Amino acid sequence: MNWTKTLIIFKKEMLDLFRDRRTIITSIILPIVLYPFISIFVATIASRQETKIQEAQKIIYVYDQVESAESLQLVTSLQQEDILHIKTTREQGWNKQFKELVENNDIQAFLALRDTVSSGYRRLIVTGYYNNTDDKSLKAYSTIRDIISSTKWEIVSGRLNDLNISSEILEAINLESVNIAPPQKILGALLGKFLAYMLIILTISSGAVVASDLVAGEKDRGTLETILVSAASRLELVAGKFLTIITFSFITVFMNLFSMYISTRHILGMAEMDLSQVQMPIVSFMLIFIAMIPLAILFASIQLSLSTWSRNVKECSSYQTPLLLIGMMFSMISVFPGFELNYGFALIPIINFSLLLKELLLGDLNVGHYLVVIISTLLLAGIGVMISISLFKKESVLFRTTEEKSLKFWGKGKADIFSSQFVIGVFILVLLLFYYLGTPWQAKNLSLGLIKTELLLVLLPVLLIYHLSHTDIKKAARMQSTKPVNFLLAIAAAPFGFFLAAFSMQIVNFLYPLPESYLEGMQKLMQLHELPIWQSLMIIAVLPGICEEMLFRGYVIRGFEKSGTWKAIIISGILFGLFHLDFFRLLPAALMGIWLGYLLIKTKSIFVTMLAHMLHNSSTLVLSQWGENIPVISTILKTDQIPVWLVLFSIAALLVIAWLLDKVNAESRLPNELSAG
Amino acid sequence: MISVEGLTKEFSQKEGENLKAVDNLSFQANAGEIVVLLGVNGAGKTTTMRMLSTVLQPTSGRATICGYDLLEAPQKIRRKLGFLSGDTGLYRRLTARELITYFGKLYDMPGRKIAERIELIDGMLDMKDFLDKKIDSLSTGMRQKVSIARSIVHDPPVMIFDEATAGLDILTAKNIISFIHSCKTEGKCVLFSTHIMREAERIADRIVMIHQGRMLKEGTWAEMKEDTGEADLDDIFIKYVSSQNAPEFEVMNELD
Repeated sequence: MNWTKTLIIFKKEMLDLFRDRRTIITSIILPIVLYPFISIFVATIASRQETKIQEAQKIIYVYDQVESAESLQLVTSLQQEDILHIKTTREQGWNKQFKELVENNDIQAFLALRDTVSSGYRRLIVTGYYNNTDDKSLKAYSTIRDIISSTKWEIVSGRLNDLNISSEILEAINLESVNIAPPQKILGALLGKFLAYMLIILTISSGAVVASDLVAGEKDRGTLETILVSAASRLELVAGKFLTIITFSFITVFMNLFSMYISTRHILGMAEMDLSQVQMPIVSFMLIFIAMIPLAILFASIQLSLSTWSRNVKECSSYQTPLLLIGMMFSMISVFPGFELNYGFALIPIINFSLLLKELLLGDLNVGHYLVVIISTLLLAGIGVMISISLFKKESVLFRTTEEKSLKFWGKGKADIFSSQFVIGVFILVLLLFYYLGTPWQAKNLSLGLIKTELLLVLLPVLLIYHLSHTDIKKAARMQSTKPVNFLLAIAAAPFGFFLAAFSMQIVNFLYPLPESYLEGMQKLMQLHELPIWQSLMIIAVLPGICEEMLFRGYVIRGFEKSGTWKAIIISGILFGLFHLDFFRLLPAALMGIWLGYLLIKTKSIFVTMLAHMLHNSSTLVLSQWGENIPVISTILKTDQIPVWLVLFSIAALLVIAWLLDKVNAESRLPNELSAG
Repeated sequence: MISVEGLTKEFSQKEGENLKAVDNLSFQANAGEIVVLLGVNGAGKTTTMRMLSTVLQPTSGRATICGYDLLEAPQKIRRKLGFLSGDTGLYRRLTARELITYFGKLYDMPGRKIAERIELIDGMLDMKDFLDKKIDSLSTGMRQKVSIARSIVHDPPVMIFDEATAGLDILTAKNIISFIHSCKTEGKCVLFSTHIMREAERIADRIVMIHQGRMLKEGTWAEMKEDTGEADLDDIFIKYVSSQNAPEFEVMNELD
């Protein structure tokens, strides 16, 4: 790798980029012009609107049934307020009519006065009607409240004076409020809410423009081949293009932030806020900048990979929309209150940066968090860079000009139901159905909803696919008998699998503490409205054991077997984890899916995996009911901790069982291959 | 200069199935010689050219260019190679001079040498009027000259033209053809691919006919004429294609 050459490529790409007027206008000039314009416009309109509301006359009707000294005093005080236009009324049937007037904003408030006598004193009762959705009414009402409270004070003082008591007696407590949050912290809290969002969106969107041009654009222009036959190596080319994306992202981000900063100052200045004491948190900004570098590399690697994969710029921009959406959703997390950075969040890209930034701007830097965020993002970025380099070296990707069968999928041609694209399509469809139909069904009636979900959304699609494509389901789904010893091994593995699943759940719980509501939901699932135990077992263990196995081991795994057995086991396992639509159960379910995939591949019989699946699900149920009477289980249930020796023992036991499965079935003659048909 | 032995390229098409785009191809091309790779669309010409220019890796077989092996020293080969294809694009926002200089730098040429070389190429192709104009504003003919200049900035001894005249009007195509002839007089080794029989007829010293990835026939124009008894290159080509598809013809040819 020759850095001089990388630099030559980088310089040329930057020159090329800066000569592209469209890119420069949309990414750099537009924001610079737009922010001041928008902010001045918005600020002017807003302040004008505010003055208008302040100064506008508010019409208040007062219905005074009492006409006592106190009520007259209150009405007089109200009348002395300039912005209130007080009208008194003596009309009967006042209630409904005036309420309507307030509701329609014809008048801003209506006050009904009556009084009672308690302990020998008259008490004036004011019922105030106002409209919470109208700014003018709100303003009027807060003025009225102030006047009522000062009038009350005057009346009470007068009464005390009559009794020869000093009105000082009322001053038992004086509250003096001082906001000691330093201006930096106020600014930090404000910035922390939206800065991460802005930074991430700007980095992704500006990088997207450049990245799509850098490889997909070269394919479009027909320059890719010339650059590949030149003396620059592919690594140097990727590096040069990488530098271009990152540099351009940073330039755009800086320009935008600078413009935003100036505009904000301008607005705050117009609002007569004193910013002279506010010091810009320079150290925090430096730390943010450093933390942003790995994230920018990660984004650049994803975008360069997408661009390399795409056949043309248009295709590339359609791939980039999801990336932007994910960026937006993840970075929004800092806007929600209550989310704070912990070591669990520190491992998730974008979210970690968003929360770290909030922490930094509030001045609560935790060095451990900071390092974990940077290192974990850097690791991911490293993987991303490796992927984009290997893609750029793959000729099938670089010259992916012909229409692929992924597009034929939608055409008339007979689709290959075992192609990975088709399988993933089916999986996504099932997932969507599960979300849009299954979740509401289960919310309405948990047990009936679960039954409907398993039968109609999980099992039915598989049956339909096999039926419509005239595929022999027994063969495809491996519905065949196998050696009895395989069933025994699957049974033997069940308790160890259960312990490991519980242990992985414990790890998840440590990193991302389970919310209380989640645990309650799980509890509810285990009790199923107090159904008899055999019915619960049917719904929670037997039904999923059959239906989910048919989908994942009976169909999904087939889609990946052509690219290698282990790949198929792992991918179908991860899909099985994702299928649960539950962040906390992703890891345990995926591990379970991988084990079931292994069982299937070794024993070549789906009946074994069905049994294993049922055993696992029922053990959760059974143990939550009667576990307290079993020695080891009872301690686990009490302490919520799996002892380390048990974890190690379980791993060892599963490895032994896996080895036995391999040995027992080494010479199995059961049909495994699927003839095309 | 170019020596190809049993070159084969397979593309995995559907899962499991492979397509042999180039199948066991062997030929030679020497210095000062124009060899034309002739075949219909999809015959494997572009794949062969891309393998020889180190953009694609062969599945099996070997080839050497200027003595360097394709798999062992691709970087060295690229320095000896000028590559031009019909749909070659240019960076439209750069000027002609910037573009040529950029490629020169990628070949590790010092700035002074690049300037000298541009001067020389300018004399050859007459580019003075538009050297410092942005490529965006140039005509097709001018752009073609820039492409040529780009491909020879490092003065390579071997030139590869992949359908270099495809889609060009007669006048622009003529630029290329006369440039190819000048390459020959300079003693360069030229490999030229086309599907147009007339073009092959006009410039080839030797013709390598390929069909469905396989070598159909190699020889001079005169040899082929004599071999088939046909006068027209179209007829010659068709005759060779039908002989490949019908085995008995092949036997008869070998007996000849």
